Amino acid sequence: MRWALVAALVVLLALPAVLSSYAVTLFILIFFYGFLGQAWNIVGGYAGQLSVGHAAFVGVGGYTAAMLSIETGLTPWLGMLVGGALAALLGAIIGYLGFRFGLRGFYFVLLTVAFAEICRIAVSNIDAVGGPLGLYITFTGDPRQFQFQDSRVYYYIALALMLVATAAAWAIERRRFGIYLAAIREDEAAAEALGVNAFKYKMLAMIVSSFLTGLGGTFYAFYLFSLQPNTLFGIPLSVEIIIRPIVGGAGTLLGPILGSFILTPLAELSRLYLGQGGLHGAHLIAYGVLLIGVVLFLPEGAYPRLRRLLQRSRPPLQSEPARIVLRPPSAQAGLTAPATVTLLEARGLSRRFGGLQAVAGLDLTVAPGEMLGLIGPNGAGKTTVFNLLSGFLTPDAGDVRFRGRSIVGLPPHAICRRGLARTFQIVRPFPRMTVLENVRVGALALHPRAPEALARARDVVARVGLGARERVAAGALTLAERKRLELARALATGPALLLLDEVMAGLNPTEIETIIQLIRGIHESGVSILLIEHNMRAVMALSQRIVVLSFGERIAEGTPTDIANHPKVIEAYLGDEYVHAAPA
Amino acid sequence: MDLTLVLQGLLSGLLFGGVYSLMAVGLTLIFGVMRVVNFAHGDMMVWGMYLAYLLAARGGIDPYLGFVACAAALFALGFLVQRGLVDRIVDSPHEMQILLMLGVALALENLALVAFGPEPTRVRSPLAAATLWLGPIFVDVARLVTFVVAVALTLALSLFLYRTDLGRTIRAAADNTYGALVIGTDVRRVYAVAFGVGAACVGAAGALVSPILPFQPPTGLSLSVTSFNIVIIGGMGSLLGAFVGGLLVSLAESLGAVFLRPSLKELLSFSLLIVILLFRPAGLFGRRPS
Repeated sequence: MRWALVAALVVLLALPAVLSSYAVTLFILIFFYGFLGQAWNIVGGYAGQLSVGHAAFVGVGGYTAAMLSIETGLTPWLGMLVGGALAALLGAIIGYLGFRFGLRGFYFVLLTVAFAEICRIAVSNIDAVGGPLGLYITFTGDPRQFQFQDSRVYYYIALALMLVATAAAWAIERRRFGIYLAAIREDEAAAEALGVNAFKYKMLAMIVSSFLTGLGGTFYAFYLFSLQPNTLFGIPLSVEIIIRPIVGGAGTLLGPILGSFILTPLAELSRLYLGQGGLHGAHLIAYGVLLIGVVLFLPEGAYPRLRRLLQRSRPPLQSEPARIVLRPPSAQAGLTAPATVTLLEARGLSRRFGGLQAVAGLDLTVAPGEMLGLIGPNGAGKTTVFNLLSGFLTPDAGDVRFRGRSIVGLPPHAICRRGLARTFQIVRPFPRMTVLENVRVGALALHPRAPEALARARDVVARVGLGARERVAAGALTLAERKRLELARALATGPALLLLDEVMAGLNPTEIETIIQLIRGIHESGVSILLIEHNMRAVMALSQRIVVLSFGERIAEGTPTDIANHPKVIEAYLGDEYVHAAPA
Repeated sequence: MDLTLVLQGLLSGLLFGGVYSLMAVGLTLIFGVMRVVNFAHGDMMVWGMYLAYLLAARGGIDPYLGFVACAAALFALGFLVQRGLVDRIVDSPHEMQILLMLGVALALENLALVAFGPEPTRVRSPLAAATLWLGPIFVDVARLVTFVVAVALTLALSLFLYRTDLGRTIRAAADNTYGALVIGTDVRRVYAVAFGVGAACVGAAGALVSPILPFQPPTGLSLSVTSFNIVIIGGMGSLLGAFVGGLLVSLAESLGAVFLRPSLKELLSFSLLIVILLFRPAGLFGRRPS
């Protein structure tokens, strides 16, 4: 694969020597749209934030460099960077608003479209930048003004741009940044719970993407010598930008390039032959049909499909059901807790949903090294307590201190980084990532460098008995395996305290026995555990102490034996008739 | 400030609002039932306009009668889009649905461009020339008729949804798809009918407005954006919200046209969209999306 890419690059470098001038033009467009698609891919593909307003960044970048060149004579080689910076600023504004206010899917698409249209209308109405007619650049052929007699120079510049963007995507993909973006794309809340600052990484992706796209604006302006607001800021250009990576494979390194090699010649040919026949919209009809076809029949894009075809000869991934071998934990699993009497201390914790007081003035402490059970009837507020402790909800009143410091108001990722990890009652694996990749997301909280995180992930995966399944996509696991994956991911973050939300629900007795052993092993390795569980046998067997919750209040606390005989507990679970009917 | 001018603006804005309401009701119905945003909504409307144009130019049928045929044709289109395309990816991520509908929008807009060319078109109707005078204010008869028919259609749609079995089934499927499946509803058919009805609304709206508003293929995009504006202001999925929102947006636009340059008006409408997206995503009548 690598040698094929090197060979392709050598061919592309040598090609202009033998190409006709029309073919050179075609390749320039392929490279340029490949470049724009790759730049979009960073935020739209890897991070999964569907921007349909990327034309705005081309426009801002192009207009900036052109105005600087026309008005001040600044060389576009520098103007390009200024344009990129301004585009990045616009990207940061759009990203800040979209991500801070939590706009997803359709709402984020509309936000990006609205910004691009506002830019287009604004530029059309500012006479200083040419108004609706736009700007024209006088051709001088001066290389310092980004102008060249020989169109082959543009060929090499466009190729370089595409390679730069691809190198950037490559560098992102293999680092923590890229792994985190993929996790955010798959499931943002689950990523947050594993210590991923989703806002920060989405912002970074947006800024890098808009900066690169802004650089492209300069090329566009000085290759075509004219800038019109409707073409440079318009929605059609945004569609041109996104369609190539989507057809080629969004979120893959070579997808945008493959997409451009497929689509650009098609678009140019149909423009040439159909457009001359007066059929101006024909290639856009084809885009529409293609978009529909890709969504229906090839949703991951052409590149992943192609790669699988090429790899067909290799041995298939292991996928036989694994015999579960729980490996003893390696020497130091959890972070060592500072010498405090309590690890976690909640005081007067309260949360109301409309008319429902879900949690009312709850006091809860977990000592270092403790295994505490939290039980209560359905609707008692157990999961709400977990959400309050882990930062997914903010309490209306009360304080939570973890390792001696208040964590109220901290976002989930920050709480995870302080050593408090959680699992979700309804498991939330990243379905398209493998087991190992899932766990690696958690491990990156402990080891920022990807190779070390991978080593830790492998260790943890083996520990929960998923070693033989480490290369299987999480979406293909059984429920029991997903529950253990959920546990492994949280464990990989290196927590001092692990909140486990019904990790046994829906499992059969054998699977429950396995997970009880597993939890015991984790506890013995020095991790404190707070456990929500409906399986009484398991709670009684595991917990050192149990807190009983009913209607958001603590109604009992004590050793498993105390709790089993506590009249209030029996009443909460079985109703007061049962208590009174109990044999005296 | 000339009061007559303002009153005139308010009146024509209100009358034009009927069309906006009908258009937005169609969009909100589709979203409410299937949670799919019809990005091709404005392009479907433009097809309603061109069909009305063909009927008038080739068959001599007045758009105020022809709108029935346009609604029927768009019903079929909506039904087919749901059955053939959207239905296959109901369970896919939202991004996929958005891309699919973008694809439909691109195809429809440019089919119109290839079929009818880029020049602005307007449908002639004898009514379009007539005016009534209310003191100093004139009433454009075409707008009046458009308004009356559009409001009547919106009312008919709510009667359909609230008083007929099929309508109740549609609302049930919108409320809880799984529940509707459990009690034996053919949800696929309900979805297709709902998409068809939504498209029929916008098709009728297009035909009704065709004598008043000159149109060309790219008009679809700005109509889509206006529909999104209205539906987001009114609350995604709320019929009442879409109806009231349509009237409000139209009033605001025509007042804007009195006071502002057209480009500035467009600028304000996009800025309003951003502000609402950020601060009131549930709209005036909707619940906050979870």
